[in-house]
Amino acid sequence: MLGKLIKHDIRSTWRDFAGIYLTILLGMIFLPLLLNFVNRAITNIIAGFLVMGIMVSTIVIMIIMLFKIFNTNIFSNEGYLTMTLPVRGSELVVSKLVVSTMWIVLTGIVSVLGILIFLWIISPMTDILPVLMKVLYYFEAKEYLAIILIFIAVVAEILNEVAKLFLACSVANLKLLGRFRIPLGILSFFALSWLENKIIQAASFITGRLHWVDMFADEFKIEVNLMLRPEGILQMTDLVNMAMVQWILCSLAFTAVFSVGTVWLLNHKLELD
Amino acid sequence: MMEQNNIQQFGSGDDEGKAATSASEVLPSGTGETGELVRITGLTKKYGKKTALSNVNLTLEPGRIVGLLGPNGSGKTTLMKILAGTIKDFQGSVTVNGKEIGPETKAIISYLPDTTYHSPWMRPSDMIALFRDFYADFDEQKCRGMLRRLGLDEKQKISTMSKGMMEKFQLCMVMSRNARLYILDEPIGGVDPAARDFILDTILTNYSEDATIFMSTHLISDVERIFDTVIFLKEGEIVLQGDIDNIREKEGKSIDELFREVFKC
Repeated sequence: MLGKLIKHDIRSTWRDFAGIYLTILLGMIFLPLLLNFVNRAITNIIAGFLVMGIMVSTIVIMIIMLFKIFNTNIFSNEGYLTMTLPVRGSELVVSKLVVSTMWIVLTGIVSVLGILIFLWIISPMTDILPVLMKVLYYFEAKEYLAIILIFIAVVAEILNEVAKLFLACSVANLKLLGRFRIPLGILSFFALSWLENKIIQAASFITGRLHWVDMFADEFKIEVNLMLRPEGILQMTDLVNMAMVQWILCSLAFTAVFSVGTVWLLNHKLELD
Repeated sequence: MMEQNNIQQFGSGDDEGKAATSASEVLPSGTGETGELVRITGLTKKYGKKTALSNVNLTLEPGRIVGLLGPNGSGKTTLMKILAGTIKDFQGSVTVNGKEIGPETKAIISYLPDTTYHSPWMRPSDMIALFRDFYADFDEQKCRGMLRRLGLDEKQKISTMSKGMMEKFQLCMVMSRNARLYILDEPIGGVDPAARDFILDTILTNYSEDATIFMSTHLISDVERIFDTVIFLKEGEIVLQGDIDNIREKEGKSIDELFREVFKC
């Protein structure tokens, strides 16, 4: 059933995201052509604003879409269809987690692609590709592993944030909280983030002797600075890889905790209007 | 049996026992624990300080058409939502086919809520695809046949349909399943008399003999003829339940007349 749920969730959301992607890509192609008629200095300023605008609007659109995927689909009238399907609450949550994360990652990729197209059109950097190829040539297995781990860590972090948002949405729909449920739902997102940080800090402290890498500690920054010397680059890759593995494990653990909370609320406290 | 606790007698001041219809009379003779489709024990549901359902005890047998009758705010929709699994926060025990409300019960319950539930992008063909994917008991041919009878274009967006058409469409979807229990919340509310006939006809011709239909309505005179059993719900409590013929015979009046008497403002 999970596969069918994922298929249905993709079918119900792809139109919105296809529209967003088309807008980003077309905008990034046509805007530079318009900017060709403007002074070069002004072009750079506009380009900066544009990149920032895209980043902000992408985040806003993402939050709206995540709200739509979870909140509208479960707690609005659509919930009468979704919540009467013969599937487990956990399958519903996992499906929405997977589809939301997939769209966020894709949006990120399309946004980066759009910005690259934009920069390429306003200022073609024909020499950047050979440089990039040269850098990749010197990469060894460890460096490639680092790239893969960084990508997985980002995806795991997105999963974590989405799971937290779903839990906060579920809190915001708790009828027993009465008229305070929406502010409490919003507040719960920040409270969960705070709690998450505190737990990570405690875990870092407890497992400090087990080579736990605290990426926010001063020692880590000093160590990274030392490794930035040419001879330290390999050592740094090891450190980064270890940090990424920890980050992935942490994110997945919190994703599981938040999802269990969401499933529990759906299974025990659901009340559709 | 526990449901007898909630059964009261209504009439026009007649002697006790005259119109009383015990729960055992609701059940066809010879049915026992194993023949139960729905068992509700001590069900209480509160919205804040307001009690929507108060210690409801009810048993439904297979193969019955049960009318759930009561004025607005009597708890009909709440009871149906709990059975369908869209309200999970309640006290008491609710089982369908011996199982607590969950994926297994949802697989055998076909629920028509009192609201539209489609997503804005959906067309009938999308809804058919979804039902085909999730419900093993969905009869696609029957569904397409019903939609053709309605003159519905499968490619038309559901959101562009009229309210009456939307209700008929949802009913077609719900009745296209060979479910064990159909829960229909006000299926004829808000549609014209001609549409009511279509809806009742659709209900009666599309359910199997061993399935139970649990249907709420205000328009009693229109549907009285199809019920085997009626349940009167007042302020969250079952005040009367029983075989419709017994009630008519004992009270000497139609269910519609009895309803007006019981729920007189």
